[in-house]
Amino acid sequence: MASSLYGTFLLKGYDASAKINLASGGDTIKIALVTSTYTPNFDTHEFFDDITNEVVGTGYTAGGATLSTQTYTHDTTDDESVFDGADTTWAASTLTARGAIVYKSTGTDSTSPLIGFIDFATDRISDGGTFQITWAAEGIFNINY
Amino acid sequence: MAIAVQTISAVARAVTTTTLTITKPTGLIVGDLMVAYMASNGTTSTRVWTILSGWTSIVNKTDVINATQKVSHVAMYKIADSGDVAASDFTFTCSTSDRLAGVIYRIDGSAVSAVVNDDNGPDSEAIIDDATPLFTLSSLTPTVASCLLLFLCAHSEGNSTSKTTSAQAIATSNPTWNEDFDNHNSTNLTIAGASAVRPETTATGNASYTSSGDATTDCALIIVAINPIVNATVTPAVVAVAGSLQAPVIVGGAIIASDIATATGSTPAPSVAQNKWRNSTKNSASFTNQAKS
Repeated sequence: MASSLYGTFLLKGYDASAKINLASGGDTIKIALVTSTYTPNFDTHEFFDDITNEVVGTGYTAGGATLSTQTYTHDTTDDESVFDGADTTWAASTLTARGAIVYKSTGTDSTSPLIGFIDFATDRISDGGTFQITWAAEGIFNINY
Repeated sequence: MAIAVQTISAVARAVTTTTLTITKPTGLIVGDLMVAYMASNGTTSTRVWTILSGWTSIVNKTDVINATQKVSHVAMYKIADSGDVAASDFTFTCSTSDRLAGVIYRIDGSAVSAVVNDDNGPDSEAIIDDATPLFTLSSLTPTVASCLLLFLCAHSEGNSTSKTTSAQAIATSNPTWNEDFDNHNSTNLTIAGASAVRPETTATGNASYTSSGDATTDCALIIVAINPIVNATVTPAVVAVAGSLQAPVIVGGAIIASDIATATGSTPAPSVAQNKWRNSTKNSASFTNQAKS
């Protein structure tokens, strides 16, 4: 596996009827965790109900956590559009995760479009502690030109 | 949150009975780790501690044999749930009516899944007749830094009613122990506990303590290494997508050169016939165009 945006997300970005508002105050973006058993299909996985093997553990709620302080900005220095947000944490958690799903939550899995999959490369484990994703300085994802 | 002992329940003891009721540790909340340690002592019969439903056994040693005394001791743990928080006490059962003593630790900052890192169960079989017993603990090697070590001991024998415990120590990287309780106000059976956070992950080596009150004392020991909480921090690389425009293929239409078209103009040099005009008669008004010479 490797981290990537879902192909269907890139399509929706230019489809007025299905577009996702990534900007601050826009759509609700969530981060969900999955186990190593989940295999992303960037061609066919489109909505959150396509996701299997979501993490089950203490301190984790099905569907994941809402990304706070989301922004979608234009970095004129690096010539890229940058989607970013505050680091995502699950406090007092006991869980094992291999990757994260970034998606727009509509409240219904079958209509919540997928955005990207983040591969942790190895299983990451918290045991009674905090599970935290520290997003890169260049954001969660960016599209450069 | 660093792993730490928060409270110790009142140590309970009972003489010639099969049940031991220990008050819930003060301040207990859901998610706290409870570690219970009990011991029983007598001269006859077999004493087997029952692991309470929902609790997990750490070490459960039955009738560690000595010439005159037998000691059974047990350590078990549970992550507190709402039922535990609502309870007022916990009752533990031993199979044979005898002298009993026990305690419950309340610990926070511990792991809740993989709670016990290591213990010296196999080495606590032997009971030692000595006021300063030395226990072989070569197998106790925590694999995680900064485990909480619980040093739990029971000692008996003799008629002294005041056998205090002190000088808990391990041979390698001995931490500064905090004596959590030392129950020695009744006959024969004494239990005591100390704790320390030890950064090292090396083998502890042997352990020892001092039991006062008698020249010879039957001593038993359990050391348990409790895992601290485990945090996970993931720092994924940004997912970068490069946008690119593909070179178009144009069919038909005009091709417009991008360079400036330069037109060079020139005027041809005129060709002038070289004629010779002659007025041979002079003053004549006529001229003859003679052939070129």
